[in-house]
Amino acid sequence: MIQMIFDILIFVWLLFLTMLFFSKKQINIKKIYNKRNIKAKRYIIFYIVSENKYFGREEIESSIRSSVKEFLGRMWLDISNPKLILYIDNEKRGIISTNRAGYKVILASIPGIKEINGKKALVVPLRTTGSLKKAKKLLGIR
Amino acid sequence: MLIELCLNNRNLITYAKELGYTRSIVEGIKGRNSRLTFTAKNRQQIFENVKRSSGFRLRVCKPLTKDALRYAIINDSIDFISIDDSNFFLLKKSMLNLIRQKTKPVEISLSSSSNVIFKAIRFGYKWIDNLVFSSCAKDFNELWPPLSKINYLIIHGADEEMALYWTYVTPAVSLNDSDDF
Repeated sequence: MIQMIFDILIFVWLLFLTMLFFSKKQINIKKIYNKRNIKAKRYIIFYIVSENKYFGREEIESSIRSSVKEFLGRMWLDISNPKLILYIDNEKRGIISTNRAGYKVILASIPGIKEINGKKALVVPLRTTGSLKKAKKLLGIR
Repeated sequence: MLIELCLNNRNLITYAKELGYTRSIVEGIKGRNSRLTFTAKNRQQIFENVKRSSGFRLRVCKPLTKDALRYAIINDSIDFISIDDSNFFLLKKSMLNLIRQKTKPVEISLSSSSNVIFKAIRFGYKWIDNLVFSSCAKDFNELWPPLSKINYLIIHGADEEMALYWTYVTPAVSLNDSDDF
């Protein structure tokens, strides 16, 4: 009788361990998430070298967009989606907003800009930051 | 030390400094930071150009035939071999092996097509130890900022480490190798 009780207890204990093992195994199967959030914003600080003093914001943005389109096509233009969010006329400096997936594309295609509005110009990227606050700080704006 | 190895206009030195280059080598004018680029179809042309190139810091040969390329690799007085769209077809396996054997620096113009740059990056991993990418600008708007240069190489398939190496280290290393001025 005692032997039977022991057998049942051992059986229950083994059953519990088996259940625990399988349940743990199921828990351990984790989904692998992409840690690099490609939608995260990136801000490129740039300045323009040119003999011309003033450029319009729309002119600069359209020349950047056309340069990206010429270099890697419409698909990468849509992915990177560069936008001129800030431009200081006097210093010829500004900030382009983009995302983590496309900032390298923009940096690579910027030298393709030879002219802005028919006047010779060179757009020089200075630095890339992850926050607008930092970008503004680097430009000396609060 | 960031060096721009090819400027076709002396007035661009100030612009290059503004972009962050600490030193620029200018085409055609004799001096410490000068270079002479010549095209050659045969050995005789290389020999004649090397003779008239005294006073230049760098002697760069742009070979147009296989024979000229072979002689340019072997000749120690030639510091760089210039490659672009017009003579890229010369870089076959035998020539690449010879470049690796002689550790000859090779200069690729950034104005070349993407096909040339993509293949040059591939060659840079296996055969060409001292690979240099230079802008060869005639006007200020043709200059390449260093950050753009690195990302341009990354887009064409280079690792970030190698893109940095080819932009920052190789030009300086190549200049020191040919320090006989």
